Amino acid sequence: MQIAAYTGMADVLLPMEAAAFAAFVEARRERAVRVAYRLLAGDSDAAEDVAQNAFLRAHRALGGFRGESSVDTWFYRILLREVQRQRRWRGLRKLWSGAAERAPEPEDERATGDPGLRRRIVDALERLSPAQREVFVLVHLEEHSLAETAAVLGKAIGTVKSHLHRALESLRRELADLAKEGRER
Amino acid sequence: MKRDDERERGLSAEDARLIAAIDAGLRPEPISPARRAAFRAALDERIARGANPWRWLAPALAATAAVALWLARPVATPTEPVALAEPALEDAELYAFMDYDAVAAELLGSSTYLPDDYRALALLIESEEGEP
Repeated sequence: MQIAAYTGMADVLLPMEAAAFAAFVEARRERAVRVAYRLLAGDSDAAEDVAQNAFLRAHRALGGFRGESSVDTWFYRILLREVQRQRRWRGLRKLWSGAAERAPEPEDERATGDPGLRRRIVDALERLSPAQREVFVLVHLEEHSLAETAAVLGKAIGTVKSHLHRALESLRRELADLAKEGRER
Repeated sequence: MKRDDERERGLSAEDARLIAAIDAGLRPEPISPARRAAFRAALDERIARGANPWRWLAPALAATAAVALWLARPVATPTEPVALAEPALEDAELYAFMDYDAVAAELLGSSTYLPDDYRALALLIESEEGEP
């Protein structure tokens, strides 16, 4: 998708540019929110905030996009940086608030599916390292290729494969029953 | 984006089932039209707000004013050092340094003031002198 360079204030945007950005958001919003949701332990509100921040940053940076990578690679790189920022901020808040934050997090009422299963999946994903979690979500859940994922994360393909292998190993241990349940169905 | 072959090759049937279960178990609710509109409106509003080329002006002015106020604050001028009066000596300290008996003798006259021992001797001498 070719995005016209954004050159000025929103109110003087050429209609074509505004329309192109609107289409850009429309095409990626759902996926962006879903990726953020999966990387942020199933927190819908935080996921929407992060996706919005990513679109805002993308909008500001559109003028600097030189087309050296695909628009998707460029955008998901921004999105993941926002996710990492959110997780750091959340970690700091937990550190400051101490015991109050150690209480189990409230269930997200807007999420779908079995809350107990979701909690287990979230816990298992949270036990992965950040890089393992990102690679697992991008490759296995969001169906990015290894090359795309390596480009988004700025890592070598070999590193991505290694993270993927370890992530899967850990999830097999934590959620072995899910694979077996699937076989019984 | 399609699931590519290089990834598929590494997955057993069990792994594929596990991933499918995780994929199904961790999905956000589909965004409702109202929420979609709210998302878009909030994004547009933030873009419009962020596009103001003078947005840095207010914080910059506030920072400048704060620095100016700090520089113009009344500074206390250093005052001349005040010579402190010597503290008055306490009586006990005074007695420690002063020969009290000598001073008392000067004040009262050597004949009328004597320590008890000397007074006893003086009385003895006076009585001997008085005897015929």
